[in-house]
Order: sequence, then C-alpha cells, then structure tokens
Amino acid sequence: MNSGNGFPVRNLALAAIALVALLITPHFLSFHHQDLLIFLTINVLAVCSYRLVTLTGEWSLIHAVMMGVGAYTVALSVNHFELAIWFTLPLAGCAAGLVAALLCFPLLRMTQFYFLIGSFAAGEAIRLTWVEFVGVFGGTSGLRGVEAPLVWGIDFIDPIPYFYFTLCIVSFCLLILYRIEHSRIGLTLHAIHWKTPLAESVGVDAWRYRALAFILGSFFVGIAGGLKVHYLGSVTPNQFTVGFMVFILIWVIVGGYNKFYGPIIGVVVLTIFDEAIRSFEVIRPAIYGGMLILSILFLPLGLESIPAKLKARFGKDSAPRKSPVAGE
Amino acid sequence: MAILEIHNVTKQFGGLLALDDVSFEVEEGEIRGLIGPNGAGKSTMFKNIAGFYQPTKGSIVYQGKNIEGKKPHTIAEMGIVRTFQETTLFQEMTVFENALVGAHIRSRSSVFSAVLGLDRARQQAASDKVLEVLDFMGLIDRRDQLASELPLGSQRALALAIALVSEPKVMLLDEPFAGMNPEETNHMMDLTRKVRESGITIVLVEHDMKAVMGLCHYLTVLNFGQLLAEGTPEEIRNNDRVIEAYLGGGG
Repeated sequence: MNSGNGFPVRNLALAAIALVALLITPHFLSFHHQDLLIFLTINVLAVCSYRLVTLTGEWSLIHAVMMGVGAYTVALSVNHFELAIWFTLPLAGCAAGLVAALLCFPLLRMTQFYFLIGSFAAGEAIRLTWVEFVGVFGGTSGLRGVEAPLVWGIDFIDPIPYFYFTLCIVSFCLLILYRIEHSRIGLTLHAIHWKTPLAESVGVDAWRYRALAFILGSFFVGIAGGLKVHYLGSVTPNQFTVGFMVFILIWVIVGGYNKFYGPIIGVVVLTIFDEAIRSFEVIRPAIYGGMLILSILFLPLGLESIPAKLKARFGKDSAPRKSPVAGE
Repeated sequence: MAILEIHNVTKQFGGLLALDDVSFEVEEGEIRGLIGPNGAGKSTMFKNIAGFYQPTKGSIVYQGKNIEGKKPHTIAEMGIVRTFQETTLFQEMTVFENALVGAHIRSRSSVFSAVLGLDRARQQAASDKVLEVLDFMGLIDRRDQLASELPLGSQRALALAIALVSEPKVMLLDEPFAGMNPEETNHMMDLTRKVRESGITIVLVEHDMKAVMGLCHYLTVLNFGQLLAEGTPEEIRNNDRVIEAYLGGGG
C-alpha cells in the first residue's frame, strides 16, 4: 500500500498496451465470446466496487443484490420513462447508493460475522420484493423488453460498440475508485480495518466511514447492474442470487484483495479458465472447485501475489533453482 | 486552572464496581500520574474519559464542558487523545502513514475533493505536520519503514506521534513504559517531557515507579476502584495507606 503518487512510467506503458489489446480483442472473437467479454468487463466493476466495501474489513453478502437494484432501476426507467443511458446509469448508481444508505442504519450496528449474515438477510428481502411484487417488478420472470440504447446513431444492440462503451464507463469508474482508495479516505478505511479503536482515538468516526464505503461500493455496482440490463434487455431476480454473490467473493479472494488490481486479475483469470474448461461439461464445476481449493491453499494472498513470489525465488542474482515444489 | 475534572465517577460492570465515586482534577500543563495496584480501575478511568466507556454515574468535565457519554471520535475532536496499552499501531502501514491517520481531524477530505484532488494544500499541510512531528519524536529516518519493523521504543514513540499529530490538548498515556529496558525508559521519559513542554497536558497510567516518580508533578492513587490518595510523588512515596495497598495484603 503506497501513498499513491501516481503511476510510474512502466505502469503507464503496461496500461497503454493493455488498452490497445482490449480495443482490438473483440474483433477476433465469436459472437458468444463478445458477449462474455462484455459481462467480464461489467464484472470487473462489480469486484472492484466490492473491494471498496471490504477495505474496512467488513465483508457483505448484499453486493450482488445492489447490482440488481441498479439493473431494476434501469429497466424501470427505460420501460416507463424512456430515459437515455446518460441518465439511467447515474440513476442506477444513485438508487443502489440510496438503498445502501438506508440499510446502513440497521446493518452497520453489526460487525464481522453478524454483518455478513445481516447483509445476506437484507439482500434476500430486497430480492424477494422483486419476486413478490409482480405488478411492478414482474415477479420471477422479471422485466423484459428494455430496448438497447441508441447513442449518437450507434445501436448498442451490436456487441462491439457496446463493449467499447462499457469499457469507457468501467474504466472511468475504476479511475474514481482508484483515486478514492489512494486518497486520505482510503488511508482512513485501511486504518479502520486494522485498528478501529486506534483510529477512533484520533477522531475517526468509524461508523461514517463504514457507511461511506458501503454506499460508494453500492453506487458503483449499481452502475454495473445498469450496464448489464442495457445489454441483456431483461432483468430477473435470479441473476442476483447468493450464487452470483459467491462468484464475486471467489473472484475477489482468488485474485487477492490486498491490492487494487487483485480482484481484476481474479475475475479475468477465472472467467477465461471457466470458459476454457467448457467442454468438460458435467465435471466442469468440480474442476473449477478444485482449482479454487488449490489456489487458496497455495496462494492465500491471491493470484496478485504471484509476481512477488517469483521475484523472491528467482529475482536475486539468478540464484540456483531449488528443487521443483508443487504449486506455484 | 483545571482542564479536566472528574466528578464522582462510578462505573459498574454487572456486580463489579470497577470505579466507585472517584473525583479528581487535572491542572492544565501538568503531568499527572494515575497509579494503583492491578485491577484498581486506572484503565477503566481512561476509557471513561476517552469515551470508550460511559460512566454509570458521575460527570467528566473538560474545559467546562460535560463530555461523559460522548463518542471517542467526538472527544478526540475536542482535544483529548488516548494511547493504548502495549503497541497498538497500524502494523501494516508505514510510519508516515500511521502518523498521517492522526491528522484526520484537521485534514479529512470529502469524496469529491479526494477524487478531483481539490484539497492539495490541506493535504500538503497535513503531510508537513506529520514530518514535523516525526522529526520531533526522532522517527524521521524511519518514516518509510513498516510500523511492525520498528523496535519497541520506536513503536511507542510512534504511538505518541500518531496522537501528537492530531494536536491534542490532553493526552492520556496508557502504560507507555511497559516492557521497556532502562535505556528505552529514559528515552521515553525525555519524549514525554518534550510533549508536555509543547503545551500538552498529560495523564499517564503506569506501573514503572521510577518513571512515574521522575516524571509526574502530581499523583492520583486508586485502589479497588476508589480514590486512595493524592499528592506529590514525595508525599505519595511516604503515604502509609499507599504503601499498605501496594505491599500489604489488600488494605
């Protein structure tokens, strides 16, 4: 954790290469994979916003549902008011942020395990609202017919332009999240995580900062949900079950949550991996699960820690290689 | 003039009376020692003053204002900052970052200014203040080290530095000398005097009698949650009741 004095040149160059790669990638992919790329980009925002929530040390199980709040907000605002995407996305974020702000009062009275379970319960309550209030939210079949947005004459039903659009929005959000984490706010959130009483003793209102992280995290995942529904054209309660929440957790944990880019690595690697073992069909979940267990056993700090480990092993004056050890 | 007044403070945990009707006053600019055998209620008193506990009865007045029952961060904002027993630091952060957390009250930033970088001047001022304090505490050369890598004496100095950066008027030090060797103790005593000379009133809970006697202007002795005696170190040293409490079988 450095005190964020901007990117070094090397990182800038890496970012430029990554950007070019990202821009040309969709042209070489099948339609199915273009879809996947869009959802991957959206999920990157989901995991990064989740990381902001976890900075204070509190893990919630409501993040997926907050994504749904954003998605439903977009679906409703497009179907009823035909709002343009420039309005629906911020609205999706604000709706999720508002719900989070209201939930702060009951949820943030709890910490640790109790917060985890409390947030799960609150999330299910919201999700069941979508199921039960059929008139407004369409019940289990959800809301359909959300028309693809038209921006400057470009029809976003086509995956490639929509991918570029998603990439812009997600990058912009990531930039903001990065700035927040590397500002004094981020430092304070870390401080609350490590030693809450010490932070409080020098005037930090821990409750307010927990609330801030929760609201901001929900705001950005609300935008992610909005991006999803704009592309899919429909939204159902089943997209935001605890099953999806578990995926968010896995991506963050496997990628590593100690660095900003850890969860991004996690979601990218695991999505590609999941797609690569597609042909194994029935045993696919078993392979996926096995890989998770291995990565948690051998890489407790996540995939993000691999470069540091490699450096520690091979970096110094190319020390003689040790006998091969299982696991990386 | 008394900067801090404790009036008849009682703290009860279920059937246990941790503090029983304790009153004393702390004068501005002094180093006050709060001593007593184990379980006398010293740390409980600290937690009541700093807002981590709420007194069952009684009032705590700071600069003429009642502060009992206020939240720790509010009390810190008013100018009373405590340190913790043992080495409570942000172990995973650098020395500089640790101290920067202490600057929270005067340089916190809103989301918008943080994202847009609007409060550079204020952040620069905070950073300058942190460097000044680290210099003052002799930690400037270690500013980029992780807190967990520091030797014990420097960790304690850093705990003081975090508190100092918040520019308190009263500092409550909870056993700052525990586990130190004589050399570290002397260094810490010098630092404590320096802090006091910069205009900060200090209340300290401590078992190290050499440090207490050498440092404090006035002592308050607690025993079994009650006020046992008050006086200068010389008076306390010769007080029969205090001697009995420390040596005798629980007077």
